[in-house]
Amino acid sequence: MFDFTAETMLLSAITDMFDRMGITWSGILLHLINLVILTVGLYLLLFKPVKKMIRERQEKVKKIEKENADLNEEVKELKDSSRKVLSEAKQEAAVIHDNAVKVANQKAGEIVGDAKTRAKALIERTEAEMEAERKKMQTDVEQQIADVSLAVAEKVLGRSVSGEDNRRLIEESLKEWSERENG
Amino acid sequence: MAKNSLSARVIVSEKPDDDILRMVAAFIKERGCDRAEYTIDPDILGGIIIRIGDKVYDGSVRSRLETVRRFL
Repeated sequence: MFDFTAETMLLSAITDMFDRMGITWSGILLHLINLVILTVGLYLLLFKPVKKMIRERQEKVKKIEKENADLNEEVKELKDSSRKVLSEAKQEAAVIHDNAVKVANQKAGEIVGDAKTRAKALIERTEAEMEAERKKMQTDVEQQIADVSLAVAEKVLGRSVSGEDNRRLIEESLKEWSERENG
Repeated sequence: MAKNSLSARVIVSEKPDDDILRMVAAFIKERGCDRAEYTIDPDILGGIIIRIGDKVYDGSVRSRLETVRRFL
């Protein structure tokens, strides 16, 4: 049940207190209107622009963060890409090195083989020349020995062929020629 | 007639004795010669060389030495 009498008394007491403080209901209403106007003005002129600025700043920060994230991702991709390129370059360098070593070894083998062949041919030619020279020297020596021997023989025969030997030589020659021609 | 007109040239190293003259005369006579012209050449060292026309019989010691030289 609503106690109408008590409420009226409370209101009367408050009104009385307001009167003593110089506050009137119209003043309160005026202050309330002022407060509303001030609140609306602050909202429109200050809070809303600030809120908008904060929102814009937040969006800007988010955008920067997103750009940072994109940049980080791009940097990561670049790092991965450069790492991959570096790895491929290393592999390619290793292949090139291996091929170069292989070609160099092959070339060295060919050079050594060619040198061996040339050396062998040179040795064979030198041996052949030495053998030919040795045979020539042997022939020359034999010829010189024969010449000297025959020269000595001529000297000896010139002194030692006696008249009897000479006669026998002539007789044998004549006999030989006659037998040869007569069959 | 042509055969009898041939003359043999005979080279010996020393003066031949009668036996050699006789043997040579018989030899050249068989080959159509009736006379021989002797030449003494010590360089042949011994033996005899007889030339009858184009035919040469060489039995000299020097030719035998040359044969040996060629053989060697």
